[in-house]
Amino acid sequence: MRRRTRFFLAGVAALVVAAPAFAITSGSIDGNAHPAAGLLLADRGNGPEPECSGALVSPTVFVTAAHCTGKLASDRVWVSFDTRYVAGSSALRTGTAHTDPQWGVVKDDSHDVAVVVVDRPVRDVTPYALPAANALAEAGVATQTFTNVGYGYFDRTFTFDGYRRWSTSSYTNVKPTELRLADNPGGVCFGDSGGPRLLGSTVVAITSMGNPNCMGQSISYRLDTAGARAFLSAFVATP
Amino acid sequence: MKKQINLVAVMLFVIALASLVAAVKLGHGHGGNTYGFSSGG
Repeated sequence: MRRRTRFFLAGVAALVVAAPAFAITSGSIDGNAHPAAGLLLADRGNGPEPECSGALVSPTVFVTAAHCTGKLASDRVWVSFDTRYVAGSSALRTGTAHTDPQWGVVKDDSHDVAVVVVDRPVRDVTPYALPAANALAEAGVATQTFTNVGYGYFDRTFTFDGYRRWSTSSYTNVKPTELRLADNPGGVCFGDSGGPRLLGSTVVAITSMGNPNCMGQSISYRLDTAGARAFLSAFVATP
Repeated sequence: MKKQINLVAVMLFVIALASLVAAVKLGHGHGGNTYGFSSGG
């Protein structure tokens, strides 16, 4: 191999290997910008522990992802809307989780949606709206910028600091049950599952999955599909 | 010495390609990790 080629290959390799270390999920601490986005906590043997994110869509219904609730030992869970969750001092609201019974059953539809019905109506937070049927199939969606909100990790140190954060993502594509968004300018990471993907104040989808390094395209579960609406309508009015 | 340098360059290049592919593609199923706190990190 020629000397010039060797150095070229080594240089490219060094650049590409190094890139993920700098490519974090960009976002900002939320404060009170998105008060209806909350933190889901579950008991895995040590009392309430952060599990996922989610969003209030009625005074009593908090929507989150099925994979956040579907394998819990108990359906009794907690939700916090504090701008920063602090174990032992944050206000917690108790509720009961209901996982879409078709989660993991249907081949082409993950049904990755669940709700928590809180024991007492949340009166101090204005709920987000749910989308109309097939809202994401309409023209013009591809040019929209979506807002992501969650309590997940904010970079690749995978450190939980309790803060609710938000970022924005550009559109990649829409599949029959999924909304796929780029990590540009911001994205999502572990802990953001169930958190809202917003257009205005409408939760058009919820965070579901992505790459293990929290880079690149991420997948959200659409809430405007017939399947999602069929599940949600048992708990909350759908437009 | 010359062969050793070539091997290092090739190995780095293979690692780089693997890293790039992992960053671009979505893993299992359609393949990524679910994004709960207990899923990874």
